[in-house]
Amino acid sequence: MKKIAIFLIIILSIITIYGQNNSDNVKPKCKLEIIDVKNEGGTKTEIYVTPQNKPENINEYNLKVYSEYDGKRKKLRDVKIINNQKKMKIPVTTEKVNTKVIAEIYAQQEGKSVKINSASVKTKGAWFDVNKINSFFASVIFITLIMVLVSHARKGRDLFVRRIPGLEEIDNAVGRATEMGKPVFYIPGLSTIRDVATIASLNILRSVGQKVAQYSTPLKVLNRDPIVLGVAQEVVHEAYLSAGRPDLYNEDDVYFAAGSQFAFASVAQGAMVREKPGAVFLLGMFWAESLILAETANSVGAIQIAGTDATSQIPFFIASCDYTLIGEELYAASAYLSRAPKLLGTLKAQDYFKAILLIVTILALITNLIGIDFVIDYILK
Amino acid sequence: MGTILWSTFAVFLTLSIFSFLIKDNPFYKFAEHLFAGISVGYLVVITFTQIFIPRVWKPLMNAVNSGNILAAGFLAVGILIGLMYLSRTTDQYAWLSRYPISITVGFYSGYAIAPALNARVIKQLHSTVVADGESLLNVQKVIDFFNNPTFSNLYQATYGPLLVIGVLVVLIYFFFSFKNDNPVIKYTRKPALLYMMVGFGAAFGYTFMARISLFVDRMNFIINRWWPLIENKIM
Repeated sequence: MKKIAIFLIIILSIITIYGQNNSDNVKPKCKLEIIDVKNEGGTKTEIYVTPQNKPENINEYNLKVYSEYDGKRKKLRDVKIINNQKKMKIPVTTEKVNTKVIAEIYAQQEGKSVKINSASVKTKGAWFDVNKINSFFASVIFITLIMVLVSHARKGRDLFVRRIPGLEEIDNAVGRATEMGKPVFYIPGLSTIRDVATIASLNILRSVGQKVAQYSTPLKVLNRDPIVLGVAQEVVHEAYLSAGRPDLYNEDDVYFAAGSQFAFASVAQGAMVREKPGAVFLLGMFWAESLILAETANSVGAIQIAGTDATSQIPFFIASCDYTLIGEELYAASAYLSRAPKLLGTLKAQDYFKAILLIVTILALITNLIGIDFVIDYILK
Repeated sequence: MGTILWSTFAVFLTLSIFSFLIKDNPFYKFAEHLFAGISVGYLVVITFTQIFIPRVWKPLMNAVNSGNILAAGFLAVGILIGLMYLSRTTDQYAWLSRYPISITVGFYSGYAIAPALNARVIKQLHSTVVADGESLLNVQKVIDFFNNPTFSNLYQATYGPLLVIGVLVVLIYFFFSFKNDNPVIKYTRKPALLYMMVGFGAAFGYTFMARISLFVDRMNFIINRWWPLIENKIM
């Protein structure tokens, strides 16, 4: 009896092992491609995984991606790939350029995770992104226009700039604050110096600073960014110097209000209510705090001149301010106010460039209508 | 107990800020100064832990330890330029702070040109001609509308041309080199303003609703989260 039992166990074990071997007979296969993305800084790769087995045989694979730089290996990604027999793209970004990226595919075989395929590539940085060659030529044209027109302006050629209503009121606003014996508040937006609107605002601050210095009116400039604060202090100091009133400049009047958006808004509205400015300039980049600032300035009876290129905030300024500079008027303002040849030349260059863009767009529309997409495919790509 | 205490403090601060709607008062001043102080402190800590330590100090130490003089020198120059900004605290050497300011302003002004041209100009104009692979001036859609004059077909036929006209007239509005009585400027001015005001009106309504939802959320916190906590404690 005992012998029969041992015999049966042996037979059952053989059948079981044979059965397992049958299911494991399917060899896991997975196609793996890895490519270095062209026309970029040299940190991007794309991995393409195409499962070759049927889902009922191999349900999932495991992709492990490593980077190798200076002999040091670092795991970048560990992705579970569900087998749907479709090609999958997995983008991978390395920390450094010229890094070897190694991709390995694993699958379960005999209860173990077995490497079934691997591939590697070394990332290379490109000097030029040829896809953006149109941006390069546009930049060259724009910069050339600026240089030519600034040179014309410096030679004394009269460059006409049309009247911008909001800017004509700057004098009135400063004059009104002076008559009322109240300070002028200036907020150059809440963004950093990398924002074009902030740079434009700091240019306008110079003109406002000069006018304020001429009238001996106190000027308060509230800042959110430490770098903008430094630039604003320099700009105001220079404006007072050029107006011949350096004695009026007080560095503490150009101050850091707060680091975060709504903390800044609460400090600014508190300052407005306590100091009751006669004129408030809100020029630069603003976000959700725009209405808080504009409404508070309105509630203390200040004349307000606002301007931003943030299209979502312009409506709030239009609704609550006396004058609003819309979008590009903010960029034109500094040239209009100062009449400095450099700025006038730049403004003219902007206009000429816009004219070129207008012509290109009309050309693209016409050619597109007749079925030729040259302009869209190559110039406006 | 801690939850009730902090929630009550949050409610107190919320109401302190709202009290500004009546008039400036000590509660608002307290909330304002607390908010400003915390934001500055937080900014300092974040700058130190997330910028200075991982991007300056650690790479510098790694470079020094591995004997990479070039990398260490590069970082040291950066630190030196950054430290120049602190010279603003002295009268004698305040001029040194102009160097980091000039480098920052110069770099970002130049750096902004190409990406701004690409994203704000070229891509926008491309989308004025073709959107989702379809021409915006699609004659076939106009023909479809005349064959089958439904509201949907009217929308499809007019959407593209209206957008194209809007872009062109608004672009002309922002020409500053021509006098206001120039015929092109004169006749496109009103349509351009109309287009902009329609857009601003829509943006106003949309953002206003978002602000209302923030207010509702705050009231929801007070009424449905804080008050039940107090009620349970009292009852």
